[in-house]
Amino acid sequence: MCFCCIQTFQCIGWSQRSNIKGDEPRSLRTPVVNNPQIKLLNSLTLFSVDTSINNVEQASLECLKQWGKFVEKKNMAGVLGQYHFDGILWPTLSHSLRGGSEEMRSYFHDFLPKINGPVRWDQCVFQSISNTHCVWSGTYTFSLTSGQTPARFTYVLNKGEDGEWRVMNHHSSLMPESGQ
Amino acid sequence: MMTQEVAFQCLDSWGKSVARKDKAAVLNHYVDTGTLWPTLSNELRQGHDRIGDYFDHFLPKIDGDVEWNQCLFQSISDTHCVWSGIYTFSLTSGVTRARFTYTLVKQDGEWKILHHHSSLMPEA
Repeated sequence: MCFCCIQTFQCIGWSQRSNIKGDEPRSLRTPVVNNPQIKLLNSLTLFSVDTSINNVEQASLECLKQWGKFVEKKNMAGVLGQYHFDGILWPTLSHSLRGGSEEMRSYFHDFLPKINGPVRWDQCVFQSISNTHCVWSGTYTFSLTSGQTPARFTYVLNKGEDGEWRVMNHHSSLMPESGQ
Repeated sequence: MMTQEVAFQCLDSWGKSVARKDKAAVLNHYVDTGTLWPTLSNELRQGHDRIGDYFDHFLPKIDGDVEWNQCLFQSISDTHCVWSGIYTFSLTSGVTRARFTYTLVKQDGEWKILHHHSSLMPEA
Protein backbone atom coordinates (compact mmCIF):
# COMPACT_ATOMS: atom_id res chain seq x y z
CA MET A 1 0.00 0.00 0.00
CA CYS A 2 1.40 3.34 -0.98
CA PHE A 3 1.28 6.13 1.57
CA CYS A 4 0.80 8.94 -0.91
CA CYS A 5 -1.98 7.70 -3.14
CA ILE A 6 -3.56 4.83 -1.17
CA GLN A 7 -3.14 2.33 -3.91
CA THR A 8 -1.21 -0.89 -4.00
CA PHE A 9 1.67 -0.65 -6.45
CA GLN A 10 0.00 2.19 -8.31
CA CYS A 11 1.88 5.13 -6.81
CA ILE A 12 3.64 7.34 -9.31
CA GLY A 13 4.95 9.61 -6.59
CA TRP A 14 8.48 8.32 -6.74
CA SER A 15 8.65 7.87 -10.48
CA GLN A 16 11.17 10.62 -11.17
CA ARG A 17 13.62 9.77 -8.44
CA SER A 18 13.73 6.80 -6.19
CA ASN A 19 16.27 5.17 -3.99
CA ILE A 20 15.91 1.45 -4.10
CA LYS A 21 17.72 -0.84 -1.78
CA GLY A 22 17.30 -4.51 -2.58
CA ASP A 23 13.70 -5.54 -2.42
CA GLU A 24 12.63 -2.69 -0.17
CA PRO A 25 8.84 -2.24 -0.34
CA ARG A 26 7.76 0.46 -2.76
CA SER A 27 5.96 2.30 0.01
CA LEU A 28 9.28 3.05 1.70
CA ARG A 29 10.78 4.74 -1.30
CA THR A 30 11.15 8.48 -1.30
CA PRO A 31 8.53 10.40 -3.28
CA VAL A 32 9.56 13.48 -5.17
CA VAL A 33 7.84 16.72 -4.33
CA ASN A 34 8.52 18.45 -7.63
CA ASN A 35 7.02 15.71 -9.77
CA PRO A 36 4.17 17.36 -11.70
CA GLN A 37 2.15 14.19 -11.35
CA ILE A 38 2.21 14.65 -7.57
CA LYS A 39 0.34 17.89 -8.04
CA LEU A 40 -2.33 15.98 -9.87
CA LEU A 41 -2.62 13.66 -6.90
CA ASN A 42 -2.82 16.57 -4.48
CA SER A 43 -5.55 18.23 -6.48
CA LEU A 44 -7.72 15.15 -6.11
CA THR A 45 -7.61 14.24 -9.76
CA LEU A 46 -5.99 10.98 -8.83
CA PHE A 47 -8.28 8.83 -10.91
CA SER A 48 -7.60 10.77 -14.07
CA VAL A 49 -3.90 9.92 -13.88
CA ASP A 50 -2.84 7.58 -16.64
CA THR A 51 -1.46 4.61 -14.76
CA SER A 52 0.03 3.14 -17.94
CA ILE A 53 3.15 5.22 -17.31
CA ASN A 54 3.34 3.64 -13.89
CA ASN A 55 2.98 0.19 -15.42
CA VAL A 56 5.84 1.00 -17.77
CA GLU A 57 7.96 1.88 -14.78
CA GLN A 58 7.16 -1.29 -12.86
CA ALA A 59 7.50 -3.67 -15.78
CA SER A 60 10.70 -2.12 -17.10
CA LEU A 61 12.28 -2.16 -13.63
CA GLU A 62 11.61 -5.89 -13.52
CA CYS A 63 13.73 -6.21 -16.67
CA LEU A 64 16.66 -4.59 -14.86
CA LYS A 65 16.22 -6.71 -11.76
CA GLN A 66 16.08 -9.84 -13.89
CA TRP A 67 19.27 -8.73 -15.65
CA GLY A 68 20.89 -8.44 -12.21
CA LYS A 69 19.75 -11.91 -11.20
CA PHE A 70 21.15 -13.44 -14.40
CA VAL A 71 24.46 -11.64 -13.82
CA GLU A 72 24.57 -12.95 -10.25
CA LYS A 73 23.95 -16.50 -11.52
CA LYS A 74 26.59 -15.96 -14.25
CA ASN A 75 23.92 -17.12 -16.68
CA MET A 76 25.29 -15.98 -20.05
CA ALA A 77 22.18 -16.89 -22.08
CA GLY A 78 19.96 -15.21 -19.51
CA VAL A 79 22.01 -12.01 -19.52
CA LEU A 80 22.16 -11.84 -23.31
CA GLY A 81 18.41 -12.55 -23.50
CA GLN A 82 17.75 -9.30 -21.60
CA TYR A 83 19.18 -7.30 -24.52
CA HIS A 84 17.47 -6.48 -27.80
CA PHE A 85 19.05 -8.43 -30.67
CA ASP A 86 20.69 -5.26 -31.99
CA GLY A 87 21.21 -3.65 -28.59
CA ILE A 88 24.27 -1.61 -27.72
CA LEU A 89 26.48 -1.89 -24.64
CA TRP A 90 29.13 0.44 -23.25
CA PRO A 91 30.65 -2.02 -20.77
CA THR A 92 31.86 -1.19 -17.26
CA LEU A 93 35.33 -2.58 -17.86
CA SER A 94 36.01 -2.31 -21.59
CA HIS A 95 36.49 0.64 -23.91
CA SER A 96 35.10 -1.23 -26.89
CA LEU A 97 31.46 -0.48 -27.78
CA ARG A 98 29.51 -3.74 -28.17
CA GLY A 99 26.69 -4.08 -30.68
CA GLY A 100 24.58 -7.25 -30.81
CA SER A 101 24.70 -10.53 -28.94
CA GLU A 102 28.05 -11.84 -30.17
CA GLU A 103 30.02 -8.75 -29.21
CA MET A 104 28.25 -8.61 -25.86
CA ARG A 105 28.97 -12.29 -25.31
CA SER A 106 32.69 -11.65 -25.67
CA TYR A 107 32.47 -8.98 -22.95
CA PHE A 108 30.39 -11.05 -20.54
CA HIS A 109 32.68 -14.03 -21.20
CA ASP A 110 35.35 -11.98 -19.38
CA PHE A 111 33.05 -10.17 -16.94
CA LEU A 112 30.82 -12.92 -15.53
CA PRO A 113 33.69 -14.98 -14.04
CA LYS A 114 34.54 -11.91 -11.92
CA ILE A 115 31.06 -11.91 -10.33
CA ASN A 116 30.90 -13.08 -6.74
CA GLY A 117 27.46 -12.13 -5.43
CA PRO A 118 24.23 -10.23 -6.10
CA VAL A 119 23.90 -6.95 -7.97
CA ARG A 120 22.72 -4.27 -5.54
CA TRP A 121 20.54 -1.47 -6.93
CA ASP A 122 21.52 1.68 -5.04
CA GLN A 123 19.80 4.51 -6.94
CA CYS A 124 17.27 4.25 -9.77
CA VAL A 125 15.84 7.23 -11.65
CA PHE A 126 13.06 6.65 -14.19
CA GLN A 127 12.40 8.78 -17.27
CA SER A 128 9.37 8.04 -19.39
CA ILE A 129 9.47 8.10 -23.18
CA SER A 130 6.32 6.21 -24.17
CA ASN A 131 4.37 3.07 -23.35
CA THR A 132 7.07 1.07 -25.12
CA HIS A 133 10.28 2.95 -24.24
CA CYS A 134 11.88 4.43 -21.13
CA VAL A 135 15.20 5.28 -19.53
CA TRP A 136 16.56 4.14 -16.16
CA SER A 137 19.72 5.70 -14.77
CA GLY A 138 21.43 5.39 -11.42
CA THR A 139 24.00 3.40 -9.53
CA TYR A 140 24.47 -0.30 -8.81
CA THR A 141 27.12 -2.22 -6.95
CA PHE A 142 28.71 -5.36 -8.31
CA SER A 143 30.15 -7.98 -5.98
CA LEU A 144 33.31 -8.89 -7.83
CA THR A 145 36.04 -11.31 -6.83
CA SER A 146 38.21 -8.18 -6.42
CA GLY A 147 35.66 -6.56 -4.05
CA GLN A 148 32.54 -4.40 -4.03
CA THR A 149 32.46 -2.19 -7.12
CA PRO A 150 29.94 0.66 -7.38
CA ALA A 151 29.17 1.76 -10.92
CA ARG A 152 26.86 4.13 -12.79
CA PHE A 153 24.27 2.85 -15.25
CA THR A 154 21.95 3.99 -18.01
CA TYR A 155 19.49 1.58 -19.59
CA VAL A 156 17.26 2.53 -22.51
CA LEU A 157 14.53 -0.09 -22.54
CA ASN A 158 12.12 -1.19 -25.23
CA LYS A 159 8.96 -3.28 -24.92
CA GLY A 160 8.82 -5.63 -27.89
CA GLU A 161 5.77 -6.85 -29.76
CA ASP A 162 5.91 -9.96 -27.58
CA GLY A 163 5.30 -7.74 -24.53
CA GLU A 164 8.79 -8.35 -23.13
CA TRP A 165 11.01 -5.47 -21.99
CA ARG A 166 14.54 -5.62 -23.33
CA VAL A 167 17.61 -3.40 -23.17
CA MET A 168 18.28 -1.50 -26.40
CA ASN A 169 21.13 0.55 -24.92
CA HIS A 170 23.17 0.03 -21.76
CA HIS A 171 25.98 2.31 -20.61
CA SER A 172 27.83 1.22 -17.49
CA SER A 173 30.78 3.11 -16.03
CA LEU A 174 32.97 3.16 -12.95
CA MET A 175 32.74 6.06 -10.50
CA PRO A 176 35.09 8.73 -11.85
CA GLU A 177 35.90 10.27 -8.46
CA SER A 178 38.16 8.04 -6.41
CA GLY A 179 37.44 7.03 -2.85
CA GLN A 180 33.72 6.45 -3.40
CA MET B 1 17.11 15.73 -43.77
CA MET B 2 16.89 12.44 -41.91
CA THR B 3 15.93 12.35 -38.21
CA GLN B 4 19.41 11.00 -37.58
CA GLU B 5 21.14 14.03 -39.10
CA VAL B 6 18.86 16.59 -37.49
CA ALA B 7 19.21 14.95 -34.09
CA PHE B 8 22.98 14.90 -34.44
CA GLN B 9 22.95 18.66 -34.91
CA CYS B 10 21.89 18.83 -31.25
CA LEU B 11 25.08 16.99 -30.26
CA ASP B 12 27.22 19.05 -32.59
CA SER B 13 25.75 22.25 -31.16
CA TRP B 14 26.27 20.93 -27.62
CA GLY B 15 29.95 20.34 -28.43
CA LYS B 16 30.36 23.84 -29.85
CA SER B 17 28.71 25.36 -26.75
CA VAL B 18 31.10 23.35 -24.55
CA ALA B 19 34.10 24.54 -26.62
CA ARG B 20 32.92 28.16 -26.17
CA LYS B 21 32.47 27.49 -22.41
CA ASP B 22 28.99 28.95 -22.80
CA LYS B 23 27.17 27.46 -19.81
CA ALA B 24 23.73 28.88 -20.66
CA ALA B 25 23.95 27.48 -24.19
CA VAL B 26 25.12 24.09 -22.90
CA LEU B 27 22.22 23.91 -20.43
CA ASN B 28 19.76 24.91 -23.13
CA HIS B 29 20.48 21.57 -24.82
CA TYR B 30 18.98 19.65 -21.88
CA VAL B 31 15.23 19.38 -21.21
CA ASP B 32 14.13 20.85 -17.87
CA THR B 33 14.04 17.44 -16.17
CA GLY B 34 17.03 16.10 -18.11
CA THR B 35 19.56 13.87 -16.39
CA LEU B 36 23.35 13.76 -16.67
CA TRP B 37 25.90 11.21 -15.56
CA PRO B 38 28.92 13.49 -15.82
CA THR B 39 32.35 12.47 -17.09
CA LEU B 40 34.08 13.63 -13.90
CA SER B 41 31.53 13.50 -11.08
CA ASN B 42 29.99 10.69 -9.00
CA GLU B 43 26.66 12.50 -8.67
CA LEU B 44 23.76 11.90 -11.04
CA ARG B 45 22.51 15.36 -12.00
CA GLN B 46 18.86 16.12 -12.74
CA GLY B 47 17.54 19.53 -13.83
CA HIS B 48 19.36 22.64 -14.99
CA ASP B 49 20.54 23.65 -11.50
CA ARG B 50 22.42 20.44 -10.77
CA ILE B 51 23.65 20.04 -14.35
CA GLY B 52 24.78 23.67 -14.28
CA ASP B 53 26.66 23.04 -11.04
CA TYR B 54 28.68 20.35 -12.82
CA PHE B 55 29.45 22.55 -15.81
CA ASP B 56 30.61 25.30 -13.41
CA HIS B 57 33.46 22.91 -12.59
CA PHE B 58 33.88 21.27 -15.98
CA LEU B 59 33.83 24.18 -18.47
CA PRO B 60 36.91 25.96 -16.99
CA LYS B 61 38.88 22.79 -17.81
CA ILE B 62 37.97 23.02 -21.52
CA ASP B 63 40.74 24.12 -23.86
CA GLY B 64 39.53 23.41 -27.39
CA ASP B 65 36.96 21.71 -29.57
CA VAL B 66 35.00 18.56 -28.83
CA GLU B 67 35.96 15.94 -31.40
CA TRP B 68 33.39 13.27 -32.37
CA ASN B 69 35.26 10.01 -32.92
CA GLN B 70 32.55 7.35 -33.11
CA CYS B 71 28.79 7.87 -33.33
CA LEU B 72 26.12 5.17 -33.43
CA PHE B 73 22.45 5.98 -33.94
CA GLN B 74 19.44 4.07 -32.61
CA SER B 75 15.95 5.13 -33.59
CA ILE B 76 13.09 5.03 -31.10
CA SER B 77 10.46 7.12 -32.87
CA ASP B 78 10.11 10.36 -34.83
CA THR B 79 10.58 12.21 -31.55
CA HIS B 80 13.13 10.08 -29.68
CA CYS B 81 16.49 8.53 -30.49
CA VAL B 82 19.78 7.45 -28.95
CA TRP B 83 23.33 8.33 -29.97
CA SER B 84 26.25 6.38 -28.48
CA GLY B 85 29.96 6.57 -29.17
CA ILE B 86 33.24 8.24 -28.32
CA TYR B 87 34.21 11.90 -28.13
CA THR B 88 37.44 13.63 -27.22
CA PHE B 89 37.66 16.67 -24.96
CA SER B 90 40.59 19.05 -25.12
CA LEU B 91 41.13 19.79 -21.46
CA THR B 92 43.74 22.00 -19.85
CA SER B 93 45.20 18.75 -18.45
CA GLY B 94 45.41 17.21 -21.94
CA VAL B 95 43.35 15.36 -24.50
CA THR B 96 40.72 13.13 -22.86
CA ARG B 97 38.71 10.47 -24.68
CA ALA B 98 35.34 9.56 -23.21
CA ARG B 99 32.32 7.39 -24.00
CA PHE B 100 28.88 8.91 -24.44
CA THR B 101 25.22 7.97 -24.63
CA TYR B 102 22.65 10.64 -25.39
CA THR B 103 18.92 9.95 -25.33
CA LEU B 104 17.31 12.75 -27.32
CA VAL B 105 13.76 14.04 -27.48
CA LYS B 106 12.21 16.37 -30.03
CA GLN B 107 10.41 19.04 -28.02
CA ASP B 108 8.50 21.86 -29.78
CA GLY B 109 10.40 21.04 -32.97
CA GLU B 110 13.82 21.14 -31.31
CA TRP B 111 16.00 18.16 -30.37
CA LYS B 112 17.03 18.22 -26.72
CA ILE B 113 18.84 15.91 -24.34
CA LEU B 114 16.62 13.80 -22.09
CA HIS B 115 19.54 11.84 -20.65
CA HIS B 116 23.30 12.02 -21.13
CA HIS B 117 25.82 9.52 -19.77
CA SER B 118 29.49 10.40 -20.21
CA SER B 119 32.31 8.22 -18.88
CA LEU B 120 36.07 7.96 -19.06
CA MET B 121 37.65 5.02 -20.86
CA PRO B 122 37.82 2.22 -18.26
CA GLU B 123 41.00 0.65 -19.63
CA ALA B 124 42.97 3.90 -19.98
